[in-house]
Amino acid sequence: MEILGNLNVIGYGLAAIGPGIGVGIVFGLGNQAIARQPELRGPLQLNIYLGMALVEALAILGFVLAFALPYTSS
Amino acid sequence: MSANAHVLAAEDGDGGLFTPGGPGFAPPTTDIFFPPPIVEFGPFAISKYTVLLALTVVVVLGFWFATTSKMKLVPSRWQSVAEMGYLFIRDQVARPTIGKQGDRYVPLLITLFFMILVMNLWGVVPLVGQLPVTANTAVPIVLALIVYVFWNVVGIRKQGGWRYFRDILFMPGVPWPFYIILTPIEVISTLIVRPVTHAVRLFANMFAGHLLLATFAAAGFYMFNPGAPDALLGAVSVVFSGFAFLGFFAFTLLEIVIMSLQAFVFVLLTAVYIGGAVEPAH
Amino acid sequence: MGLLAAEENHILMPHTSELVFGLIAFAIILFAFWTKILPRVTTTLDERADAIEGGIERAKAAEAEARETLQQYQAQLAEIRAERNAEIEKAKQQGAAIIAEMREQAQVEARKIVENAHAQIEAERQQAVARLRVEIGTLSTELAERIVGEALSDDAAQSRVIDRFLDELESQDRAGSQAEAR
Repeated sequence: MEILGNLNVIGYGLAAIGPGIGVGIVFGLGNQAIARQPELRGPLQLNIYLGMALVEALAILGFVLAFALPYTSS
Repeated sequence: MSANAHVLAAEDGDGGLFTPGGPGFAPPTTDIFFPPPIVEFGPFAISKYTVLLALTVVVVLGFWFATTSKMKLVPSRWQSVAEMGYLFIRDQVARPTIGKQGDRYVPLLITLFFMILVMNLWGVVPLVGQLPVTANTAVPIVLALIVYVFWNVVGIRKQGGWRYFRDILFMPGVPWPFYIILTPIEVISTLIVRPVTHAVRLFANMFAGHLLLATFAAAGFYMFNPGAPDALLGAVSVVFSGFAFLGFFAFTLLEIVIMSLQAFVFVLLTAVYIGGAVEPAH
Repeated sequence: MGLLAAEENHILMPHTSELVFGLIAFAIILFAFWTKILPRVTTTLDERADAIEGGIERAKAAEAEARETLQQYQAQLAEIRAERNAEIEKAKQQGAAIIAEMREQAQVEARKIVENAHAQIEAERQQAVARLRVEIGTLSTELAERIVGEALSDDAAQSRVIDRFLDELESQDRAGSQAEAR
């Protein structure tokens, strides 16, 4: 059986697993923190988006590399 | 994107779903992000992106000039919308991240926010746009580069060049053996990864979202085949394409949220970087 | 696809024209915001804040003024009340003094009148006594003359003489008292 396609996309998919979990943790714990101390909503939200941006960097690098690296189809 | 998808579907030939001998489904490729240039002169080309950029300038400035030309103490509806936009950037982004000096950088932040927002939203405006300007790498790169240069200049001017780079290279308050590991990481993450991710985050979100929408639209057009040889299969194909278009509209709404969010995140990160440059590292 | 550089329409390759036009668009918007739009917005917001703060301050000033006026009024009222009380007190004292004085005067006068009356009565009595003495003398002399003149024979005549004498005396006395009253 022949499988066609870009192997880089699989690489990107693997690279997105970690950041996906990370972003989930960031937002989950962020919401928990807001639920515990609603008066700190502003700074917490800021930190949530900051953490999301930092965690997301890895997935973005994977995305770039998926396009940037040369590939050979089978 | 639907127009592009329609073109793609038409290029598939007269096949379509359930038609024997059809060419099969060809999902939209990255080619939809390269509209043909309208005018070309030397290295420059006026393409759809350029036109939309100009329209962005017109829309942003038109809105702001219209709402702020005759400002009153008791605001009208549109004036209060504009003031809300200004206060949002100032109170939610600039002041919490940069601090007392945040008001000085509001013009830059507000420019970035509204420019990126409008450029993103071109992706869901039918007929005129259907192509987010930020899905072209050049635009986020330009903006991220401006921000990168800006916060470095701010840091050097506020803290002095030597001290600024010393704080980046050698994080204060860390035992010296850690510098062997920490310094390369800091250099890479602060001076290289930061601007790259700053630009690519915006680009990748818009690019991927737009490709997703285009795929849904193309699939909808592909599956819409009431003239299939079997009448029953033709009806089924219509139902299938209905699902595809339902997905298309749902993801369009999601895209609008993501477009606003990415504009906000871009501006927020800009403010955080500037704030880190203004205040000496702790 | 091939290498990044080799590809002409690679998705990550920025186009020169978009780089330049993006920069220009950004510069235009930034310039407009920096020089035109945001100064207007900030001045309006500042003016509004000023207006609101001014309103609050004006209200505070008015309240303070009202309170001050109230205090003034109350002070004036208290002063007036005290003054009035003092006046009343003084008037009461004056009235009492006047009454006492009047009573004194009246008593003095009454006493004087009584004394006068006493003195007059005394004087009149003296006069009466004196005149009576004179009159009794003359009368008794006259009576004696008559008695002697009538020749004392007849009892009836005697009693007639005495009666006549007494009648005369009575009439005289009446005339005399009338004259005296006059």
